[in-house]
Amino acid sequence: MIKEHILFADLIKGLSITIKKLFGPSVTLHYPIQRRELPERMRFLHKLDLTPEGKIKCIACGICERICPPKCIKMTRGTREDGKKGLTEYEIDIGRCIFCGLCVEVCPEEAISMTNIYELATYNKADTVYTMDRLVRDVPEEKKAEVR
Amino acid sequence: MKNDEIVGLLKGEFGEAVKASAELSGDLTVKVDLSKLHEILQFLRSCPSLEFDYLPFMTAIDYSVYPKPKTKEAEAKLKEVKTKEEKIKEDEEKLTEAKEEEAESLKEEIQKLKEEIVKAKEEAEKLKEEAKEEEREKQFDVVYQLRSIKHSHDIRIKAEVGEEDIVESATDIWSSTGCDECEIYDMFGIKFKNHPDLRRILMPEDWVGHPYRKDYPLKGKEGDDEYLDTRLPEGQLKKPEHTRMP
Amino acid sequence: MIGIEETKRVRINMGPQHPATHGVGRFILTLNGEIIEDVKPICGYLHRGLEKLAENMTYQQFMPIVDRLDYVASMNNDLAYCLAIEKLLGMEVPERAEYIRILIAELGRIASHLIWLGTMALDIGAMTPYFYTFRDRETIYDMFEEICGARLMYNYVRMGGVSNDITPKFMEMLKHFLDTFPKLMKESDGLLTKNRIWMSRTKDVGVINYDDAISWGLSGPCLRGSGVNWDLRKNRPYGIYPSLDFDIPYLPEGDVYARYLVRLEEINQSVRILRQCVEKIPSGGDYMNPESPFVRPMKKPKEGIALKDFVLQIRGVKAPAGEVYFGAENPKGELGFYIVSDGAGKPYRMKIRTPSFVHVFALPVIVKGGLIADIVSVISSLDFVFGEVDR
Ligand code: SF4
Ligand code: SF4
Repeated sequence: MIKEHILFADLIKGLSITIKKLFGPSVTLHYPIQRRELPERMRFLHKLDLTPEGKIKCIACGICERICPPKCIKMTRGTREDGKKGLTEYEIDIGRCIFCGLCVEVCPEEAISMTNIYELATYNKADTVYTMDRLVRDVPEEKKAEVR
Repeated sequence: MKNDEIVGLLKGEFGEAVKASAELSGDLTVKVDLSKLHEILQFLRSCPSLEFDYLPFMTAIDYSVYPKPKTKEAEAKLKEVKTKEEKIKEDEEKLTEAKEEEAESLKEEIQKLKEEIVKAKEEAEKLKEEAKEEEREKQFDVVYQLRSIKHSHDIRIKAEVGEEDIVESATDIWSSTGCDECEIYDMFGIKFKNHPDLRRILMPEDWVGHPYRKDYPLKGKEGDDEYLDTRLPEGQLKKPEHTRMP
Repeated sequence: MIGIEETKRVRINMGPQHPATHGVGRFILTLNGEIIEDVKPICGYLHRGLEKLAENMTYQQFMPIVDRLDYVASMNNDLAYCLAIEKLLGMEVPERAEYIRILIAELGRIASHLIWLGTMALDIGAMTPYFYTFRDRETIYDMFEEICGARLMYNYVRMGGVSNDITPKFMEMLKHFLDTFPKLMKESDGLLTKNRIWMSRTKDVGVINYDDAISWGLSGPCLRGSGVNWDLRKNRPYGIYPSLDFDIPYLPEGDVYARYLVRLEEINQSVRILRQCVEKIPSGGDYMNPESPFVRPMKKPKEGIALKDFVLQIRGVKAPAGEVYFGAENPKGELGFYIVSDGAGKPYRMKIRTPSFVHVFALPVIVKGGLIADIVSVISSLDFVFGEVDR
């Protein structure tokens, strides 16, 4: 102990670690130029899934709306354009969502899933509400009307 | 020490003040009288074979809306009796006008109903007896979870407390009860005497009401908005608008 | 001449936004010169009424909210909550799930202690260890991300198991971590443990003795730093901890340095537990109890989905009437859930016993009579998080 204090062994040891790190490889990423590869199970922005025929899978049962802890899902049942009853509107307020994934977990039809799109900041508060059109991501913009 | 030994020791020392004891999923719970509460706690702390020196937490429970299934059942039984009695009256009225053949069957029916009434009444009495256990005089329970680090055993002490009652503070026994008592005072409005610094610790000093009581609404009372209005910057959102769920 | 007796008492505010308070807490200090005469902790800035919220949510719905108690050790919070509910329901957990739970709990413990080490060094004035510990913590978070898809609020453990199986990639990462981490840990150890400045800032500072530590309800490493050999993993064993071989470090000094050493040793013991688990974990089997009513409908065979599954998700699982208390050994201390159930799908009352809440109010007795420069290191060594204090 005393020997260490006289010879500054403790400080030299610490400094040597720091200097060694100076020549080591970098551990940080240069975001946004570099991006991480995200794992499959990432829980970010929601997505409404489509059936093979290209229609929305959701059967408007409303479980996801019920279980959502901060109550940020708003779902409307009604008569659709083709005359059948079903889902007419589906909104998620990302500003309130806590990304817990319970809505995905309870959905009996696997109609809703989560993507790894994580850059969700907007300049406008109204943009945090994702409507049905924005939640369907598998079809190009022009064809969005057909999925209903 | 085994659970029944602890209860035996307590009962031997305090007799009537130890009201009931139960073992709920392995935890020993003992109900005691409020007037003797502080003495019992002191005994639990100082008795050398018990020596509960550690207090993980203390809290309170508001029992005002706790369901009473047996009381409900008894009430339902009594209602049944009443409808049957009314039916007998109807039948008797019919009997005066009825012909002989019908009268026979009606009489039988009345006899049957009367027997059923007697049975139902007996059952209702029994249920009422049992339902007495569910009845509570006072609204709250204070709960002390105690542990002995030396002997490695646990106990939970409960005492019924009303709104007007003043509980003697246990800060002289376990210092850690200080913050818990403040929290109970803040959230339930139960007062403690001999507490060194009893104040609201989680809510603002000038808050009205006790949030963890069962009659306090989840979304805040009417008037809370006005309270916030005077304190929040103008135009700040107070309530979420985007939902139709309760 | 002005004597010491004539100095005026000065009252200063520490917080609510001081970096060393680890959140939005406020302390009103009464000073006599440089000596602290009194400390009054003021909390509630982060109060969200979680206990009231729990009364209005099903057991499953409250799960993601539990993460928000101690947000640097969310996995451990999840585990403690699930164990409490399982005690109430009397539920079984498959063996593989038990091992996964220990894996994530010990990883969570290491991550939490790493944050504590980094921020404590930062508070005292050593900046470098902060970067090293956060680098290591990042690898742990990457692992968590791999199995549950979130970096901070995991919502991973479920009543009756865990929500997803661990992947082969996770095991690979874990093995790599176990190989490299002890070496990396030596760096922070070498930077701090023997350093003369570090020792003079922490030794004989913020002393709390054996009896006071128990009476003030300290728990976890703070209690063990005062010489009390008490760990819920050993004394109230849960999960498969009894079948694992590990030691409980404790030191009698009761000062900041003792708490520091205890936590460092705890990291080593966690690594030891992890090594055993990696060896022993069964390669196959259920990760979730298939009988558990919390299993999501879509995980059952398709024809098995019935109306009752829908009702179960909406109303919640009916727990038997009764009450339980379960305390688990979290990185910060004993996190306990006291649940009173009236037989409905929601708890009738839930009290959350958090270690930080007790530690904050034990602060006055620890720092009284000390120097004002030391309060920062004492606060760091108690390691509280205000998400837990205010609930
Ligand atoms: S992830 Fe959670 S908070 Fe977000 S919409 Fe789904 S259930 Fe609601
Ligand atoms: S749970 Fe699934 S099917 Fe039901 S409303 Fe939600 S997304 Fe649609």
